Amino acid sequence: MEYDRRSLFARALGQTKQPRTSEDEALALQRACEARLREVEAMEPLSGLELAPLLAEHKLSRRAFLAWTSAMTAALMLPPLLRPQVAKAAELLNRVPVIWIEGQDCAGNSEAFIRSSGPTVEELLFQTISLEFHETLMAAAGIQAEQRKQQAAQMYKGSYVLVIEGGIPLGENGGYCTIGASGQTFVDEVRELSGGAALVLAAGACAFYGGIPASNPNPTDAVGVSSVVSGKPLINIPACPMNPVNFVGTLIHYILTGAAPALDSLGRPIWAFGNLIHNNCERRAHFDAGEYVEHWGDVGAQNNFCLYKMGCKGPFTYNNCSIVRYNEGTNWPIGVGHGCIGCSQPQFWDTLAYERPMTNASIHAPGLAGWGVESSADKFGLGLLAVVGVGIVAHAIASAAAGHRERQTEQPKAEVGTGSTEDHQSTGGEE
Amino acid sequence: MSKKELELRPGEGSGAGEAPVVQVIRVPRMTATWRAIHWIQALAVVVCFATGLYIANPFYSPNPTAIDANTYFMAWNRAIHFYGALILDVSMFLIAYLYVFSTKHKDITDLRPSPENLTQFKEALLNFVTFNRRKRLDTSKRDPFLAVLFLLFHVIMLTQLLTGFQLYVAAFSANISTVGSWWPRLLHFVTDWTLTVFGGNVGVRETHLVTAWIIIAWAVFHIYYEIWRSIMWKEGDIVISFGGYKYVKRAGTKHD
Ligand code: HEM
Ligand code: SF4
Repeated sequence: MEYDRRSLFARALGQTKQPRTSEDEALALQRACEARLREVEAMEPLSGLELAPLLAEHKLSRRAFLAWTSAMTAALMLPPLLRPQVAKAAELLNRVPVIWIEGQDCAGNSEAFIRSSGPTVEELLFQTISLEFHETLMAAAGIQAEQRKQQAAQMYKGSYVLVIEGGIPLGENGGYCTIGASGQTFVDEVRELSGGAALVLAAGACAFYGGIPASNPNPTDAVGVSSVVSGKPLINIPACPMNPVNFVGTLIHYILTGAAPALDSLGRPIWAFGNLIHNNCERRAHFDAGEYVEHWGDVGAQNNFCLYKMGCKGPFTYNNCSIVRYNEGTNWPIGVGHGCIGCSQPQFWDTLAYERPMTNASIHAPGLAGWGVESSADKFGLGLLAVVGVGIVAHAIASAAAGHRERQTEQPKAEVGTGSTEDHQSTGGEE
Repeated sequence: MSKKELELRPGEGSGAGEAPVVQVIRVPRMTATWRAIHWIQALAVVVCFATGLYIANPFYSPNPTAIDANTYFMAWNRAIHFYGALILDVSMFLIAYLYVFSTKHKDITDLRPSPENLTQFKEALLNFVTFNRRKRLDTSKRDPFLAVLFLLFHVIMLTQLLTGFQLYVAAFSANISTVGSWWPRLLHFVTDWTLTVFGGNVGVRETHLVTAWIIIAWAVFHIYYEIWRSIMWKEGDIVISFGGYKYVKRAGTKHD
C-alpha cells in the first residue's frame, strides 16, 4: 500500500521527512506540489491560450471540468486532497513548450486527441499546450516549418518537452524516413532534438519499441525511442493509439512535480500501466466462471461473456483502458466486444494481436521452419511425447529380444551355489 | 548404504534339492518421507498439468448457454493449479534441504561428478542402452543413471517454478497482497530476470507451457525406466516407491 503515492512522487517529496500517516503524507505532497506550482505559475504563458475561456467557449461547464479533475486525480493515484492542485496544473499546462515530431507512424496518437465527437477536456488542454512544432497540426510547411522547429529548439533549449510519435528506422542509415525539405533522417532529428529536451515522451506503440513498422520482418529496422535516446528522462506512453488521458496525466504530473513519474521496467508510468487489463475488466467474472464467447455473435457474445477464447490478451497487457476507457470514458475495445490485442506491450503485433488464445495461435516467426510460435509449443509437446513413446517401445522390444537371445545362449550356465557376490554380470539371463 | 538390512528368504526357482540357496536381500531404498514426497509430487504434477492446459485454453465450458451458471470453473482451475504448484514448490525446497542436510535420505555428494560416480553413471547408461547385456554395476546400490535423471528433473522443475511464479506475480497490482508486500516483492526479486531471458511475459508463458510438456515426457520415461528395471533386473524395483525396499537376489549360503 505504501507503494503508490510515496514512490510515485518520491522526487516531489524531496528531502521532507518520512511522513508518518497517509494524511501527513498527503499534506506533505500537497505542500511540495504547491511550491512547484507557484514556480510554474511565475513562468510566462507561452501559447496565449487560457483554459477557462476555452472551456466556456466550448460550453464545457466548470462542473464538467471538476469532474474531469477528480477522475484525473484518481487516475494519477493521488489522494483526493490534491484535486485543486491537479486543476491548477491543468490550467498551467500552457507554460510548457512542447515540440512534437513524427516518424514512421500513422499519426494515430495525434488523432486520438483531435478526433473526438465533441471537444474533450483533453483536447482543449492539448490546445492550450504551447505546441511549438507539430507537422500535422501546424499551418506552416516546408522550409518555414523547419525554421520554426530550429527556433523553438533554440529558444527553449533545456526546457522543452519532446514528444516523439512513430518508429525510428535505422536501416539504410536511417534513410527510410527523412523529414522536411532538408531531408534530414528521422533518427538524426530525434538525436538532435532530444539533446536539448528537458523530458522525452515516446507517444504510442511505434515510439515505444518500433510498433507496426517494426513487426516481422521489420524491413526498415525500426526501433523505439529508448534504443536511440539515452541520458534523458524518457517516458514511454504506449498503446495504439496511446490514451490521451495518459499523455495529459503525464504532463500534469510533470507540472506538479517537475519530474518523471515512477516507471515500470519498460519505462511506462506505473500510475497508468501498473495493472493488467484483465484485473479490472468488466468481463472478468465471466472469465472466472468459465463462460466464454466461442464464436462471434453466439449466445456468449450476446451476453458479454469473456473474450479469452476469442484471443483476448488482457491477461498479458498492462494498461488502464479497462478503467479510464477512451474518449472520456465512452467505451473501449473489450466494452464493444472485441478482445484486447495487447497494444501497449512490446512486439504486440507479432506476439499478441490475433483472435485466439496463445496456445492456439499460429504466428509465423523466422527461424522456426514456418511453425507458429505459440501453437508450436503444444505440437512440440505432443511430438516430444511421441518421440519418448516410440523410443520406449523400441527400447522395450530390443530389451526383450536381447533377453531372449541371452536365454538361448546361456541356458546351461548355473550360477548358484558359488558364494560369489561380486559377479552380477549375468543376472539378466537368470530364471 | 550404511545399514544394509539383510533377510533370509526361501530360495525360489533354483531347482529343488540340496545346498544352493538363493538369498534375497532386502535393500532399503526410499524412506517413508521420501516416498510420501514422491507420490505427493506425482499427484501435484498431474493436477498442475491438467489444470494448466485448461488455463491455457479453456477447452470445456460447464454450461455454455446458461447465463448465470455460477460454476466458477476457471477460478477453480486456477486455484487448484496454484495449490498444486505451491505444494510442488515447497516439496522442492524440502528435497533440496534433505539432499544437503540429511544423510538418512539422500546425499548431495552422490551427485558430485567424481571419476567414480562418472564411471558408475557410464556403466548404468551402458546397461540401459545395451538392453541389459552389459551389466557391470551393483544394482543393490543407488542407480546412478536415475540420480542423473532426477537431477535433470529438478532443473526442469526449477524452470517451471520460476516461470510459474513470474506469471503469478505479474497479476499483482502495485505490490499489494493479502500477506503483505514482501511476498510480491520477493517474487519480483527472484523471478524478474526470467522476463529478460525468455523474452517478456509472452516468452515466460511460452516457456512455462513447453516445460509442462517436458515434465510430462520426463514422467513417461521415468515410469518406463522403472518398469524396465523391474523386468530386466528382477529385483522388484517398481515396488521401491511403495514399500521402500528392493529385493536383490544373491547366490550363496552365507551372507556378510
Ligand atoms: C508440474 C508443474 C506445472 C505444470 C505442468 C504447469 C502447467 C501449466 C500450464 C500448461 C499453464 C498454461 C500456460 C499457457 O497458458 O500457455 C500454466 C499456467 C500457469 N502456471 Fe503452471 N504449471 C506447473 C507449475 C507451476 C508452478 C510451480 C507455478 C508457480 C506458482 C505455476 C504457475 C502458473 C501460473 C501463474 C500460470 C498462469 C495462469 C494464469 O495466467 O491464469 N505453475 N501452468
Ligand atoms: S475479456 Fe479479456 S481482459 Fe476481460 S476478463 Fe476476459 S480475458 Fe480478461
